[in-house]
Amino acid sequence: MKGGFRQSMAWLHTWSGLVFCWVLYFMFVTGTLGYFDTEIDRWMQPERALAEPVPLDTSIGVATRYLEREAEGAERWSITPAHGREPHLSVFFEMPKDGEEPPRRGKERLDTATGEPLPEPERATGGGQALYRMHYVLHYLDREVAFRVVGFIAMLMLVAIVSGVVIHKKIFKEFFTFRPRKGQRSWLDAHNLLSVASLPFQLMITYSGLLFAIGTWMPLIGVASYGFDSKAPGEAISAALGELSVERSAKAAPVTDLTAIARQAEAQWGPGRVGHLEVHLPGDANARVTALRRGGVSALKERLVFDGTTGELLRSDPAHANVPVGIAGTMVGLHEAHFAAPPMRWLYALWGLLGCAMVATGAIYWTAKRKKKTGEAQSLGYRIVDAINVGTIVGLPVGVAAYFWANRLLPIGMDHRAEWEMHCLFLVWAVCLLYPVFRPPAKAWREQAWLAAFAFGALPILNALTTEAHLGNSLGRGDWVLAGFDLSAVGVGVGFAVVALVLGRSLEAKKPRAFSLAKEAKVP
Amino acid sequence: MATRAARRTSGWHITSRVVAALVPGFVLTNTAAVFFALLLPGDRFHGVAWATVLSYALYTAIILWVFAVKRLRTVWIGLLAAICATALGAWGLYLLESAA
Repeated sequence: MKGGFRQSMAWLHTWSGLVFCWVLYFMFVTGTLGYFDTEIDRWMQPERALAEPVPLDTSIGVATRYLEREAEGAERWSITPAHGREPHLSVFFEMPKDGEEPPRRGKERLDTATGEPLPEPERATGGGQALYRMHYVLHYLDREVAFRVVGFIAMLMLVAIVSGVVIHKKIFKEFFTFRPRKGQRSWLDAHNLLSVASLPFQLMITYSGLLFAIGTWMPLIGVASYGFDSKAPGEAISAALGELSVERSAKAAPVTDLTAIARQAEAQWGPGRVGHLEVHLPGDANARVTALRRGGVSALKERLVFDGTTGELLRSDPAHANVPVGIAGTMVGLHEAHFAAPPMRWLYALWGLLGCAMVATGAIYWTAKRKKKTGEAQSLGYRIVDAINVGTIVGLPVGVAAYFWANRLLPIGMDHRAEWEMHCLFLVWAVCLLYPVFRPPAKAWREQAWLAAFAFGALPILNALTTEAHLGNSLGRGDWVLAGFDLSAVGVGVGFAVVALVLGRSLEAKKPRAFSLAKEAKVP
Repeated sequence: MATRAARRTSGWHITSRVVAALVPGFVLTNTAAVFFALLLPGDRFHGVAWATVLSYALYTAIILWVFAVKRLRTVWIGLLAAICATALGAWGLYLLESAA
């Protein structure tokens, strides 16, 4: 590029960051919420009964009886005993492929007392899972297409991070630099501060996010290295990930006692360390049972492989076939953070919020700078970007709040209730996007910030009016999952109120000369 | 900085670099990774896993290079030459190994 190296990197940083910044912001917001997915699930279905902890033997026994009854002759069973944040025993099964139809699959949470699936509460919801899933498959889009789009944007994010680091010669000094109330300069300082403070997290989350998409974006490396006509890459990958390939025999044989296998795995790994039991070809003479360990950072786990009819231990696999697989497994594990206990989980959420703020301040800085450059004349492009900034940076959180409001207000038992919760999110976001088109931007910022403050701050009140899961009960019982949601909502509401107050004050200070973001929106 | 650089650089230059980063840049990432995978000692999967895990870092470096180089011609010739070199290298290694 013309101009110096640093200038071309600055150009690259600006545009790789800006072009999809709102999708990136969407991914950061929904991904951050995803670190509390099961807690949000719980708040959105407070009627669901809590499970009493039961011994491992009981869980495995209940699950086996259910699967033998409901999924005889399956390709695969999977049993996940209750653990940590997930208090219910769950089972999964996949039946053999029948012609062209996709195989029948089932997933149930079981009541350990009755052995039956837990009744689904009438309050149908997408829950925290629907929010969490959107950070990698978006919404209203074909899953495969969306996954590709997200991978592409993650690649742009990686380019933006690395070029962003390259353009800063004084990265350490900038870490301690913040000049409030200097318009454009303040936005840049805030952007630098947020990005540098969370740089290791941003690098980890982006690179590991891309590792999820290896099969989508980088499959050719494996394929070509083995020769294009070979089956070897698929087999090597399955072997590295510990997937068993078992051939069905013609002979039937009863499944071995799974509780004995679970006990043996527990004896080796310690109590609470048996993550899943998987049975391949249950009921066949060639059946295999694998026990996967729980715990540790990596997404790949140690496993024990047993003969599925005799219960004999066949082999013990380490978590990682080799160093690069270990690196990938650890990165993916760091991304998913299943290992994180509450304090660590809150740190993850904080880093995620820093990421949201990093993207937001970057996008605002772009308009603030343009504003200064082009003087008072507001081009159409500038107005559009500014309006989308308001409508997304504040509007998307308002939409998320609307999702929670819809959960409490939509009639119980209505058709497609869970889908409508999500429609509410996008409808409200759409209104927030349109609103700044008809308002001076600075006012739109302040008004939407007040709206967000109300939408989150009033959630506990709405909750108290509509359910028994309110703070009066949850705090009294020491139920920190439900109380934590309500208190966090208040915290977010207060945060937006502070933003609105600060925006309002700078509006007062500089009466209506021009509604320019650069001059008026000086949030420290 | 950003807008100044953009103004000094014509639309054609930008488009050309974006295309270079998206197409030959991506192809080079793959050919170079395959070459690297075959070059690494040890069993095949070990090399493939390293190459795949590092592929995004390589692609990032290539993209940065595409936008850092001053002359457009250098970008295209450089990318095409590197693709040919790594692809031929990978092919050679593959043939050597199949012959052995």
